[in-house]
Amino acid sequence: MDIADLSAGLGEDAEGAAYSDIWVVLPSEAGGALAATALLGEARRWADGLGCYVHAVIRLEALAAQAIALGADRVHVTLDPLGYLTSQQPEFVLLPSNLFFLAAELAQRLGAGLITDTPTVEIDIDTRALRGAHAVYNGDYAQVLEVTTPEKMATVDVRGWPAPYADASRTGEVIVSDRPEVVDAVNWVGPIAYTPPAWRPLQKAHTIVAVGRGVGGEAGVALARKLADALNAEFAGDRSARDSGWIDAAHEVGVTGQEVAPTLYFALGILGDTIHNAAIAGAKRVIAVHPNPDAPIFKVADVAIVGDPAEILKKLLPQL
Amino acid sequence: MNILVLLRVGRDPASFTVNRKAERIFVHRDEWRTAPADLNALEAALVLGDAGHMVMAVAIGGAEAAVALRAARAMGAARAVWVQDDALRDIDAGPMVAVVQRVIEHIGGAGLVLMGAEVPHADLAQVAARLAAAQGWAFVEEDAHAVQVEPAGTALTVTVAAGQGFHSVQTNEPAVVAVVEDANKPRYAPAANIVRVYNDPGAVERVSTTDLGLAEEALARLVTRRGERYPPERVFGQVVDGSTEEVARQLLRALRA
Repeated sequence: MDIADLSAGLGEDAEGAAYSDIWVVLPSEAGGALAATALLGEARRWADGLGCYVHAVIRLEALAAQAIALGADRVHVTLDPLGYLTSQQPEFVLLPSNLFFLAAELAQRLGAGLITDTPTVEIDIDTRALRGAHAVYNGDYAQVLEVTTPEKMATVDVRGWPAPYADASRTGEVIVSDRPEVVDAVNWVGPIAYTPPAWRPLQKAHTIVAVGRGVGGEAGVALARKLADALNAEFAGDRSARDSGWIDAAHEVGVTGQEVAPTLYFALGILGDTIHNAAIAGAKRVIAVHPNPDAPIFKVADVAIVGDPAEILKKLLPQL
Repeated sequence: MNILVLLRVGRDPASFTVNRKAERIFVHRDEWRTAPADLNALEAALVLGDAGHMVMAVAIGGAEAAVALRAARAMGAARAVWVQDDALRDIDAGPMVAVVQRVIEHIGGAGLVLMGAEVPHADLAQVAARLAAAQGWAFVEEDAHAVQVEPAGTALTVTVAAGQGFHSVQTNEPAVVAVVEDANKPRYAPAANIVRVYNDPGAVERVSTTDLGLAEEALARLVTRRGERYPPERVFGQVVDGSTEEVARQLLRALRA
C-alpha cells in the first residue's frame, strides 16, 4: 500500500492532496550523502501537526532510502527539479539557502511568495501561514515576513539546526521522473585571468585583520597577513602599526585615520586606545588578541583572547 | 541594444539606529540610498553605454526613487523611468517583477537587464532570478563582475567569480545579470551633468502603474511584513583564556560562528 492508496482510503483527492503537502528540495554533498537534512526532520514535525505528507525532491535515486528514513513519505527523483515542481503545485516548498536561484525561479513560476535566507522558519499549524525572518542591513535586525500566497516558499539557513533522527524502519514511496536535465542557456567558457579593480576603501571592507605593536614584530605581521589572505580580509593597523611602517595612512584605523564598520574586525596586538576604539564602534563583531589582560581593546571586543598573537596564529593558521 | 538597470532604494543605514535592548528602530532623518550593488550594476551598464549601447534606469517608489534616477542620469544613463507610487515604496519581489516587466515593454524592449546581486534593505535579491523566469530569459547565477557585449550578434560574455578565481560565461541576449557589490568603482557624475539634470524637468520620465497598464492584482503582495526581530544585545569582554592550543581552538570556533 502506498500513499496514493492511503489517500484514496481516506477519501482524499489524490491531486488535491498535492496542494497541501510540504516539499523539501535537498541537494547532495560532494561525498554523495544528502545535504541539509535538518530541513527534512523539521518538515516531518510540521507535517505531523498539519496532517499532511512530506515529499523530498532529490537528484540521486540511491539517496531515496536515506530521505525516507529521515522523514519523507514520498521521494521524487528528478534531474529537473524546477520543471518537476512546477507541475506539482505544492503548498509549502522548503529549500536550503544555497538553492536560492532555483527557489526564486520556482517561486516565480508557481506565483508563490518566497522568504529567502531565513535562519528560522515557522509554519502556523492553525492558519497554515509560513513565517520567516530575513536579516537586513548586514544583520542589524530582521524583518519578520509572512507568505500570503497559497503556495508558500522559503530558503532556509539550516546551520545550527539539530540533525534529524533517522528511522531505518520507515517506509515510503519512490517516484523516478524521466524528465531530462535542462540544458542551461549560460555556457561556461572557462577560467580567465581577471583582476578586479583595487579601489575599495577600507571603510567598505567586510572583514578586517588589523595589527598593533603587540603583534610580535615583523614575524607576527607576516602571520597576520597570512590570516588576512585566508579570511579574504583587508589588512590594516592602528597608529603604532603605521609608525612601525607596517601599513600606510590609507590603512590606519583610528579617528585620525579611517573609521570602519566591518562585519568582523580582528585586532591582533592592538592595545585599543580611545582614538582606535572609537573608530571601530560600527564593527558588527570584534575579536581581539593581546598579551595584556588589561588592554582597553577587550572592553569593546566580543571575543577577548589573552595571549601572544604570533603564537596563537601559528596554531590557528594550519586549521583554516 | 537597450540595457535596463534596476535601482532599488532603501533607507540609508546612517539615518537610523537599531536599539537591540529596546527592540526599536530610531529613525533620525529621512535619508535614502540606492542599494550599493545596484550602483555597481549601473556602472557595468555605463561601461557598455560608452561603447554605444543605450542605458536606461528604472526605480520604483516615492520621491527618493526620483533622486536616485537623477543621479543615474547625471552619471550617464540616457533615460530614466520613475514608477511613481508611494504605496510601492515597500514593494516585495513579486509585484516588483511585474512592474519591471511592464517597464521593459514601455521602453520598447531590452536586450539586457542589470541589477545588484544583493539588496541590504529588503528581501529583494530574488528579483533578478524571478525576472529571468518571468521573461523566459537567460540568467547568469554566479556573481557577475563585468559584462561585455560582442560587437556583432547577440552574444554576451560575463566575468563571474567562482571558487577562488574568475570565470568567463557566455549567453545570448535577452538576459538578466546580477552584479556583485564592489565589482567596480561607480563613476562620479560630472558637476555640469548634475546641474543640467537637476534643471531639466524632463530628465526623469514619470509613469504611474496605471500608465503601465498594471492591474491591482498584479501589484498584490506575495509576502507581508509582520514586524521586526532583533539579535541579542552584544556582550563585550568575554575573555577566553587557557593554553595556546585551547585558545587557538576557541578562536577557530569564534571565526566559524
